[in-house]
Amino acid sequence: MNNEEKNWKTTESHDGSLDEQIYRAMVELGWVFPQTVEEVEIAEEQMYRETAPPHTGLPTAEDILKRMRSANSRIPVVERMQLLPLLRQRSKMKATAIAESMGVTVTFLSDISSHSNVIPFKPRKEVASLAEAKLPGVTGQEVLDSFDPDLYQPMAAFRDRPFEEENVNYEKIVLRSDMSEEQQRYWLSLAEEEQK
Amino acid sequence: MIMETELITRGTPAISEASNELLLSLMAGRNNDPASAEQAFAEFYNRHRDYVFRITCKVANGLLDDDEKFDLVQETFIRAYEKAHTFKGRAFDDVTQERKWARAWLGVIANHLHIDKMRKNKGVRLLSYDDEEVKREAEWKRVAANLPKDSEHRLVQEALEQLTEKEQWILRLAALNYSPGDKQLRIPDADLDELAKTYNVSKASIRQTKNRAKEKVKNYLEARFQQKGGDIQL
Repeated sequence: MNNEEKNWKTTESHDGSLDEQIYRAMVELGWVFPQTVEEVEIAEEQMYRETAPPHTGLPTAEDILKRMRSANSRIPVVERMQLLPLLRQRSKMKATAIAESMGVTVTFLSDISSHSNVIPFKPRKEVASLAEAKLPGVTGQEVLDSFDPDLYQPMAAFRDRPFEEENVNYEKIVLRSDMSEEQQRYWLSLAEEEQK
Repeated sequence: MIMETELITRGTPAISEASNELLLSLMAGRNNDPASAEQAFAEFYNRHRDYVFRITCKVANGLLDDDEKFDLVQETFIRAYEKAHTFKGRAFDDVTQERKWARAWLGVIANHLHIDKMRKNKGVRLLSYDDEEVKREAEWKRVAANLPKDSEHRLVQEALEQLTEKEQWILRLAALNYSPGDKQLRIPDADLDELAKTYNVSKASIRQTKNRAKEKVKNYLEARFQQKGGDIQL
């Protein structure tokens, strides 16, 4: 067995699947963002060997800070709202009535509103479609945007210390939603479809 | 690297020596001390801007246009500023490792934003490669050819380069959704829809293409090893 084969076998048994090997090769090719210390090391090593000069057209830090300040003062509050407050404001309905119209529970709406970052794309789309179809004055796009409210969140809303991060995921949210078993299966299946 | 207490004692000029963890901690405290938070942001941005930009140009080449790449870099730093409280520092002995840890965190943010951006484009746009970037890549390949590298990685890279453009795109999109430790390269359903529309084929056909691409990589590797008289099992 030559060294090449030995290296491959060692790596194969250590790293597992061919998929992981392909992923690693893509990191080296610069096809994916390096997301671990080891991957950053690979990327940096390649950069140091490249002769490309650093780009000069990038904005300065001050430009970006100005952009953030300006965005904070310009964007209407309603556009930065989380899901549930947005639905209440737009539809002028109470949370219970909103949940009933959409065929979900208030617990579920409140949870996905508070933990929007863990909600997969497909369930987000479903919530957006339901809200648009069942509630007055609500568009699907603004519901989708509400799942990502942090980008232009106003400074005043920032806290000195963040809340302790709760260990929550989409499955947990569905299972504690008080929805029927059938409803829970449906909402979980949306996330599963996305994984296929 | 200096610690928070020392920074307070020594004052503002010391911010250039602060660890990335400390900079992010100052950003997370922006409500109490916006001036320090903004200084910390400026330092953090200047340290990592060129790195994030160069990586973005490579990853998004052919997927996003130039303006979108610039936006992606800016949004990555804006998101880092706003999510600074989620950064979990580690006790590193040296500055280099600490820098890599912070860059890995930025990589996770950039990857999420990149995926979102492609989805918001309502379709996977396959743009033509940026010529300058192609030149840089070609230059790198010439240099890399003369460097000692882990041979298995080079073989996988060679195998990827044998794939058709379509197969490469599909594997790239799967890789964007891959997290280290995942067992498989998967394409989320929403992206499958978009790919199917882009290529005017069914979702099943996209999955088949992905599997065929992987099979080609595997066959290429087997063939290369057999050429060398090995009997490797993949």
